[in-house]
Amino acid sequence: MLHMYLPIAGNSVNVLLILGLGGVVGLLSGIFGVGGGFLMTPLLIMFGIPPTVAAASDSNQIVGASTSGTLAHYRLGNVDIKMGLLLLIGGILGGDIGVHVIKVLRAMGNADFLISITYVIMLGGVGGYMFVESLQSLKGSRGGPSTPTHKTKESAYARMMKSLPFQTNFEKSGVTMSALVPLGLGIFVGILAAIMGVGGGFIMVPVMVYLLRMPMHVVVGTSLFQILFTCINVTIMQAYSNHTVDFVLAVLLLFGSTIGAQFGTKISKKLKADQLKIILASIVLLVMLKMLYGLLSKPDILLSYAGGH
Amino acid sequence: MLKKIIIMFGLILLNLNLSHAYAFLHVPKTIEIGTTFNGATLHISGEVPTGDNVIVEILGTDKQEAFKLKGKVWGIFWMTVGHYEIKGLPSLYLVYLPKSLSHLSNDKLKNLNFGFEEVYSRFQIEPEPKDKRFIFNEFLKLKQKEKLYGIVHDSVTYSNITSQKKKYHAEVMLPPKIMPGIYTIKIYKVSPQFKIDGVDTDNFKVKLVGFPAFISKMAFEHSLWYGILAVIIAIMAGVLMSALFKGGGAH
Repeated sequence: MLHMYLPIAGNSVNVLLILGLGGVVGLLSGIFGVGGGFLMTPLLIMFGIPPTVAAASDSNQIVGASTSGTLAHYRLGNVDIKMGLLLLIGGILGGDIGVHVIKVLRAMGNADFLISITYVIMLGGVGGYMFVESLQSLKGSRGGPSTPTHKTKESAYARMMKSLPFQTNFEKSGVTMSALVPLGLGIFVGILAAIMGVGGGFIMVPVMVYLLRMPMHVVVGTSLFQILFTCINVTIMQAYSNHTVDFVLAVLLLFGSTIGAQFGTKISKKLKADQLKIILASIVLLVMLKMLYGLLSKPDILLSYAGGH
Repeated sequence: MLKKIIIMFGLILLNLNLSHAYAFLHVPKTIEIGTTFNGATLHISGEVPTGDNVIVEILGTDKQEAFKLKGKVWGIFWMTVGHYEIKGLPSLYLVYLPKSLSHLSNDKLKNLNFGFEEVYSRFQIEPEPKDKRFIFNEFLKLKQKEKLYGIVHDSVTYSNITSQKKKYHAEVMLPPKIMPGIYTIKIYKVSPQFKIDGVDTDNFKVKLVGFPAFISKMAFEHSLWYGILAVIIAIMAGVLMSALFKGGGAH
């Protein structure tokens, strides 16, 4: 078995295992427009990579995978750059706020528990809603785009949206709304992502689908575009401040994930919007169950290295 | 194969000069962590009086590390309940015992100044926990899982036994998680009455070489450039892969 030494992680890994891991997560990234950090980081920790190095190196590889995915989706006309930039600015602002929130939570004690339980509730809520909604939509009109069922609610929501200033037309997404909406939602996702220590793709995707009313395929491409810039920022900051980016690990993951992302995009193109949503919802629910299991089951070793969340 | 032959040749040569140069010998003197490093084997050999036994101890330098402890809260949730700094303990602690001493209990080993009980006597933790012993046991489990701590039984072998002396040999397995630095080898000669007759000490070095050394140097000494380059290379990989798939793949 070919092993490779990771100089920053201070451990060696099986090359095929890491390539495979990168491939699977890249595939998910290309299909659903999520960075995959919520899946990759815990798996890397399981393979003996220190938590801080796992998270930072994963950000580095997400840069490659999301570049690959974004370009593929861009060619298909699935990237709304205007919307993506507003979400990105909001996400960066929200990330800064989230870091301060974390500090306050830590000072109050029990921050880790609050983080974990927020994670479980968010994943459960988002995953559950998406699952039920997509299932109803699939049953109702096979293959048609998902339409909101509560007409009165929608019109109230639409009226509120129209009353906000800075109305902007987002051509690629086919929606017109205030620029403040994606900015505000970007801040919201940024705060949650910083608290939970993840990129936020799996929160951003449902936000774009249900709150920004964007078409699912444009959501995937735009989410990847936004994730690309978020992860560039995280990688440089982590490398500069904490020296936790293991380039060797990132390159190994990259080989797998960039190829996986391309295949993912092709699969994504073949799937219908509701099919995409229901599969993503199932994955989100599975991750939630895994998190819940982690909270409820006794670990083999109660002591672990500090670092990360 | 070539590596094995060189090690064997080295051991033979060193054994010829055993009585003159060192009380014991080890090969290699320096462990190099290169691109495909996945742990290493350290060969140790020497001579002792026929009646004596040999214990081999490998120690890393003392290391301060931060840990978090999980505990049960509200009767159902397992969550972090404390953060601790542990110091006074070596980064690596391996003890190799011959078959004839493998039956010794932890307390007996402690009397000889070995084993995990001896390590516990040096265990320092901040803030002071309610149950220091419990945290030490969890610490041991973690380090043993990483193969950085261990007591290996039946791992020192004897040969060429005469009425006066015998040769001993141990193959120490150094784990992939070993960090660069200076490590100490201690060879204890134990009398039939379980008393230490003498201790011989030597060091070996673990160092990064080649690509891992270059990456480590970049990451710590030119961190901003390292981060920027890591991003650029990742983007280029993404662009390259995208270009390769542009024409439409087989799938």
